[in-house]
Amino acid sequence: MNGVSADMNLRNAALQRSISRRRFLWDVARTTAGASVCSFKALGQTLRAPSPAKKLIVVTFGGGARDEETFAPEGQRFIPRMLGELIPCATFFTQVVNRGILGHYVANATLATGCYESFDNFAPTSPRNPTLFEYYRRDSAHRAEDVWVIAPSNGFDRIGASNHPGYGTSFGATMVLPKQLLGRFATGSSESFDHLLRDSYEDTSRVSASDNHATSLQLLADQLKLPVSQFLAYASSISSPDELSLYIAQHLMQHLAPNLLWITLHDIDVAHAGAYSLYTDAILRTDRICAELWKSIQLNPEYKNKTNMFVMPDFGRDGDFEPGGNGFQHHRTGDPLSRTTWMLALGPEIHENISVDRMVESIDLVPTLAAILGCNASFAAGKPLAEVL
Amino acid sequence: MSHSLSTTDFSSYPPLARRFASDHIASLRSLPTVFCALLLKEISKYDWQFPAERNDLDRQLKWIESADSQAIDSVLAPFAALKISKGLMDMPWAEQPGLFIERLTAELWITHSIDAFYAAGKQYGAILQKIRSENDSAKSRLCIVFIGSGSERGTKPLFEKLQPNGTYFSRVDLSQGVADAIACIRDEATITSSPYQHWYVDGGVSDLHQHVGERKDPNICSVSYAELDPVRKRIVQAMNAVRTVSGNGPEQLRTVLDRMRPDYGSQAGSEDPVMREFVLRLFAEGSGTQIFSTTFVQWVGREILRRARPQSLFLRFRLRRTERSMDELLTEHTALGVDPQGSLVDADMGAYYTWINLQRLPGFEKSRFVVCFENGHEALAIGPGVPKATKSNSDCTLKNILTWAT
Repeated sequence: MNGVSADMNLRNAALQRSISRRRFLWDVARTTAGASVCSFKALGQTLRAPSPAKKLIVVTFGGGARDEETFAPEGQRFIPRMLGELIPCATFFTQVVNRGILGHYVANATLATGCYESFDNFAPTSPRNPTLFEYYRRDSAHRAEDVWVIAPSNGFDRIGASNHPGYGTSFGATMVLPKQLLGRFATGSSESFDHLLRDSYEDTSRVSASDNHATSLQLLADQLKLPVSQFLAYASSISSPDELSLYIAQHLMQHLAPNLLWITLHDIDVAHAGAYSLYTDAILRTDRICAELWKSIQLNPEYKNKTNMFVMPDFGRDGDFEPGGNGFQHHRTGDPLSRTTWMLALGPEIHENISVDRMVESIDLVPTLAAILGCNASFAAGKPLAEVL
Repeated sequence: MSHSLSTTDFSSYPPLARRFASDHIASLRSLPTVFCALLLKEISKYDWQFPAERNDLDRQLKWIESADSQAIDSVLAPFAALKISKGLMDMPWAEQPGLFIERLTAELWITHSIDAFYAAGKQYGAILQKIRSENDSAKSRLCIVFIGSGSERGTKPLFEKLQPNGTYFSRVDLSQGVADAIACIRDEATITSSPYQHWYVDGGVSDLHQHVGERKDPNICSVSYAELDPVRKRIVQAMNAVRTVSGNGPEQLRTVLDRMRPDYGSQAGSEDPVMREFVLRLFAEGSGTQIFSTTFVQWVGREILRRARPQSLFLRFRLRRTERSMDELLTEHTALGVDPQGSLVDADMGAYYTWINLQRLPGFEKSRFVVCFENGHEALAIGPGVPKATKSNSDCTLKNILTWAT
């Protein structure tokens, strides 16, 4: 078997996922229409908002979930809120293929640049190609405060800006790593927040934060207008790092209302520890967090009817029957299932309750978002997705 | 394709591996570099391999030496076609095949060639499976999995993924279940007593001696999470020492773990270097095995089936600790509770994966697989004698089920 037949294998697997997810959507359309929280219409009909969206929220998962635990019949119990609240409002891309490196930082950098980045996943490296944040800020003269990235771990702390000549940190996003903030403010606290401070589920080595972030956490907290005591009280009441990220996202939306907010969730990657119950619990939690974010958009006048939200795992996980892997635990085989995922797009400019079955690629996200934001992603390799433009 | 392979390239290999590689050097020289390195990586571990793995190597070399060149070329050509950088090719790949393969894999990801590598491996895997089937197909294996020790039944369905493939029993008397399972494994061991062919794996403290009447049954390989705790702690300490040094990453950690030798895996009562190396690799290469006993049992089952290809296997899942941060779990400074419901869910999935791994072995269609809920009365059997997707409400015992499944 050569590279061409490997590609055919990938395409066939992606198509099978697409068929499975489309079938699932028909089921959802039949069962959840009455309970839909959006202006749900029959399949094929579209809805356009009267005014164009001005804000954008992107949710990526740095640790994907498989169909077996999400869209397949046996998995639907783990995504009740996506089923009931998001899918009916969304255009759903049923086969999104990631042809790049299946490591979470490098794959999320790929999502942010629209190019298959190829650096060492565990190295403290900036993306080689300009990010969406840089395109947006440079082309539209937006301030750093208008563009925020909420990153899940120290390993992601350079995702906000590339080292591309002509772009770079002066056009990058404002980065916030909730765990760093918690670590900074929890110092001296009698309470243990260790369960919220894990950095990575895959790499047990400790990744140091860059000097830039280590020295400016207080400034960042001031910029965020973060009430420290309230933040710590909230942290003591939650069980996972992604809930901390949700808190920061909602706080940002409430107090600074940035135009572009990018949040990467990471809890699902607990799968690497091999405990299926922890993996499925994390999917349930992620499902809730996505729904809460969408709800926050609807309840916030700064965002309501002005905001598009995109939700997308960076890639999938190994299939159960792949001999080189160990099922849900990892994404190391590069098999078609681990390369194939999905994407949800919601908002006033997005068609509701539509499924798109053609194969698209992870790198298509940035050109699409750039088109929505009115900036030029000139170095991105993907193609804009006409279905949401 | 040929390359200048020399017997001195094998000087750092352990004795049996060195001799094996030297005996086959002419054949090895004829192989594409990438494929040769993959094979040498396996050969370099020859001294610590199970008989089934050594047989695999023998048969692979025999196939390479006897198959017609067209058949070999068609399988190996995709490996030869992989474009590898000069820097990587200049590595002493035959001396350090493990390190070479690790760096090769990283390069293949970066150059987007990993899919072609994966496809080449899959094609060769089919050949290997055929070679195994021709030699192993007579085996009728037995695999028993106990889940739910210490867990309440709850409301979630059990054996959900396995049900389409077998018969579900709702009224099983499991009051003597563990004793029955051990007796079955011992019976199997009296029929064929080859080394490493009969296994008992416990996610807690082993009950084997209670049922056997002596500490060790020479025909049964026994592995328990509690018994291996000293090994686990040694490896966790080594991991901690690497991870807490600034600048160290996963590559440094892998290098350190890869260099560990069987002495690191020593445990009370085992002088066998094959078992020591096996135990060492369970913790050094398994992900999560150092933390959760459920992950440990599933991974051990996978590795026994994949590597030793046993005649009989009894896996017993126990309670795992609750989830905590990586730091807490690795440093173990705090007392940790257990998670009964999570343990049951993990074990249920672990049983499913064990069945999948059993399916990969030659002669699977003749094998029996039984999973039991230890804390209740439910079981599910898959085997030639029981129908698929069927439910039985008859009163029965594990022994009855095993007889019916034959």
